[in-house]
Amino acid sequence: MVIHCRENNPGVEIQIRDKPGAPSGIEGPVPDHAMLFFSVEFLYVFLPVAAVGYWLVARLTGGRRDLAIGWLIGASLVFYGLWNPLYLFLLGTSILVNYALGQYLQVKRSKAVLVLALAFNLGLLSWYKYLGFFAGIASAVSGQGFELTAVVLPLAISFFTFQQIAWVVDNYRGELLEGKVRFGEYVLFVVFFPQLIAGPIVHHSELIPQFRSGELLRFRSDHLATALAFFIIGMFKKVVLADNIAPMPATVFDGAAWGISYGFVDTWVAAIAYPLQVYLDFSAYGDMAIGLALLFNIRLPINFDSPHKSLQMVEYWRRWHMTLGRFMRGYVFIPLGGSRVGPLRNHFNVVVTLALAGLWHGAGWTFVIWGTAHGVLQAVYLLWRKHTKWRMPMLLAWLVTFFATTVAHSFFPAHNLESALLALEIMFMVSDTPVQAANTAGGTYLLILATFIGALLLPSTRLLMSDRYEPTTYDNNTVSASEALRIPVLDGLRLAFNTRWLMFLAAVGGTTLYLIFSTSSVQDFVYFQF
Amino acid sequence: MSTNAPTSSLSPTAFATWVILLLALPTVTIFYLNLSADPFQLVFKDDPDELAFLSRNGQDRYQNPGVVINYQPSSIVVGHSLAANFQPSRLEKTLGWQRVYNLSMQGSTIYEHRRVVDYALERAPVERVFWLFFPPNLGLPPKVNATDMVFPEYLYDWQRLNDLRFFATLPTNLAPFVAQKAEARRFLEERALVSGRVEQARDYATNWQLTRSNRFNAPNAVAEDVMGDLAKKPREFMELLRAGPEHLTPKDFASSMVSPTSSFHPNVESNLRGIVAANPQVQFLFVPMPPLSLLHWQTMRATDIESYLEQLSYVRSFVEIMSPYGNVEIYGFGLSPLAEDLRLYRDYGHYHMAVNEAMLDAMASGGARLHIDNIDQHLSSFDRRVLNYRLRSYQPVDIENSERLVKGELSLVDGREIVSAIERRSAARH
Repeated sequence: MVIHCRENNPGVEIQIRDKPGAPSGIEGPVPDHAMLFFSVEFLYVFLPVAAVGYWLVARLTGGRRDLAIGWLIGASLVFYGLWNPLYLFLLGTSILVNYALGQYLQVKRSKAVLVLALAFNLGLLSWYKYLGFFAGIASAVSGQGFELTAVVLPLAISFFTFQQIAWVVDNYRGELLEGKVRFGEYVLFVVFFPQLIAGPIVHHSELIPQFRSGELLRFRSDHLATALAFFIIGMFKKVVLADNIAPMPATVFDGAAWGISYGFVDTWVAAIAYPLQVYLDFSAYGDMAIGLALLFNIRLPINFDSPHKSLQMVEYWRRWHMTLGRFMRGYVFIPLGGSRVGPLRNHFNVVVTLALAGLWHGAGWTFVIWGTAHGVLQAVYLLWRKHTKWRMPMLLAWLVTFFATTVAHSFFPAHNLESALLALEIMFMVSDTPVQAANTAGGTYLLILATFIGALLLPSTRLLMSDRYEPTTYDNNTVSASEALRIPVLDGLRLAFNTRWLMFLAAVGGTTLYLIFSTSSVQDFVYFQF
Repeated sequence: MSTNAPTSSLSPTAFATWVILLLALPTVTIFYLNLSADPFQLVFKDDPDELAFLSRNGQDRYQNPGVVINYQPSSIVVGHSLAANFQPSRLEKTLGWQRVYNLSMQGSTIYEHRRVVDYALERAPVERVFWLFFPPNLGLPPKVNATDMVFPEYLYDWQRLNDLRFFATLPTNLAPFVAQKAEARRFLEERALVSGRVEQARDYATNWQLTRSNRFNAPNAVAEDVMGDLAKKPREFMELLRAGPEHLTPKDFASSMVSPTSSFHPNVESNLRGIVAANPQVQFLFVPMPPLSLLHWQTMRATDIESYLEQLSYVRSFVEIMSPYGNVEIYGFGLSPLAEDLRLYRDYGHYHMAVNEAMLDAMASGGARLHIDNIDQHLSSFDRRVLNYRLRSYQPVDIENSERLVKGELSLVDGREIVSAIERRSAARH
């Protein structure tokens, strides 16, 4: 909501950016901001201290791994505590409880303890994230109102909770790592700052063995060079692309929440721009996280791999938030029976898994519907593939997939169901609401178009770095090159340590820093809210 | 850029070193330049002889943290532009306070005030908070910022580390601050208001009157500005006013309620009551009803009676909520005789410094206090004044005389109603 008052009104020239539909009586404490990877304090103080300190500890102690791990844990806790130190207790409690229960399950395979661990983790998540949502449902069902006290959503709770659920479940299943997992190793697996706040959701089996590797404390300049490339490209994607695209879809979807229609073209542009923005924003975080981790000789998994190039719905989810996808597959879809059940049950499992993935993103019906829509689209695709022998031409397959995902994504940025439906009504020309212009600058449309074309033509960061970086993965469900759009224009680009790449990174990094230095306002990563 | 073009390949060490150097050198230079300028004393305290503050374009939002950290006030003034002209030395003299600093911010919201108060309470031995805002501010949602001026939240949070963001701005962005600071200093020196004395500069840290005094002493222009189109239709205006409700009695106000859909309660709870309750050792002096011109209230009563009643109900509810606290004093200046005199206003609500001084005098003598026992009577009397107010036109006088006016050394009354003056002027134009 935006209120503009008369110019000379003292104290009332205001802009209100609260979320429409939010209960007006609930306002929590003023939240502090997380330290962003591209913030000045991170780039020029925290990171140099953390990285130089780590290598100094490694060198001065003659390669004492426990001290280096201790240093990284300390740095990670400072990183998290700079958001709000009080929540370190919550994080610490979660770690202690899960480590203890995991250790117990290694010794004794107890279903009761597993249930206790799951109840603890899901209870914690529900209390902080879903209380209002469930209370709303209970209120609607019972017809009675509930008065709730506002609870601040602890940063990264969705991420560190899922990682630890995997830990206790694997211990119960007997899928153990070699040797006893030390407490320090476990703590670093959970709190390692590059991935703590917004993933990638790492699996203990891909991180803890690296902490034990003899390579951990061997400084490698090729890692440093590759890390810089990852980080600079990620920073560019976030600061230059995602943040400059963001206002356009925000205008349209915020407007829809207030019943404002922005017209057919603007709504479609917003519907296309929003997933593009989230992809850039979140994959940028992943790129920066990989670069940061590599500074400490630690490899992380890839989280996005050009999802816009997908030719079918299942492939799309192999390329979009890949670490969430593999978690949901391993700890929800397969326990439900996976694809080893009848076709009907299999499709049901797909829909339920993605509906829960939607709920993971946020406590709201729009997220549930967003996930369910993706699940239904996947089920439809599986049915199509089973019952039809005809293979669509590549361009048509891409168009169908792109259209379907764009429509399904429309629920994601919507503030409530009504506004999502309003946006869809406009997109399908069944709305009779009067429209108004979004007043988006022409440059923004051009940026969206250019970025979209870039997302189709350019290789993903995974491919771009493939000569220099091998991501971790603990399962074999990797992306399929044959199920993606291939436009061999710039697809062969690969990072090389030469002057052209040096100039390219300097230009890209310089442009990004210029933008950071030109403005005093920065936007959080989209996925910080999850 | 592929691996197939190794003609000018570099070793990984050289590659990484060059990337770091190319990106680090310009940024280090920028930091150095900005840090050495530091116009708001965020890192380095100014030499007292160089002390000069700024008061426009939202710089007040940047200067407050430096003031708190470097000068450790024991009393602070917060609020928006209507609080900006309170002079700390005058507060010290009139109210007997010590180390007073004005931290008000033009066009600010109660949420922004609260951020400043939080910051000051955490980082300085603050014992008293003088907090002024006008009624509609109470009805805003609890977390809003002014639209046209950036509020740098990062300077007011508990971290000092992220204050570095301020210095990570292009020198071209910071240079105007430095220039405006020097200009402010020159301006004060030319008027002999600052001669190396910290106290004098402090009095003008947030002041806007010095640079905008030409708008005072023009009552007809103010009246036309406040009344808008109705200024040309005086009879219609009077009919509108008479068409509103009769004079409201104390009973009417006692039964008045803030609309349940209003943001009033969350705003008061999260930005005002909470901080008062959490700091019982700090004395809070609130002014939720500064002396806006009576013409403003009268125009609102005639044209938008709902807003008029809503704003008065905000004041009443605020007094009701805050009265139980022993560390709270509330003051209302709706009945101030100065509110009748449009010569003292540059628009509907921004008053002359003489009014600030009169307010302090009234507070020192124990007047203008509001509490739960007198608020209904106060609002009823105020409503009667609004209803009965008659516009007057005045001959221009020198602005210096307005201070004598406040002290009662000059007479206000000219006797002619501004309505007829406007009518005459309008007729002359045709």
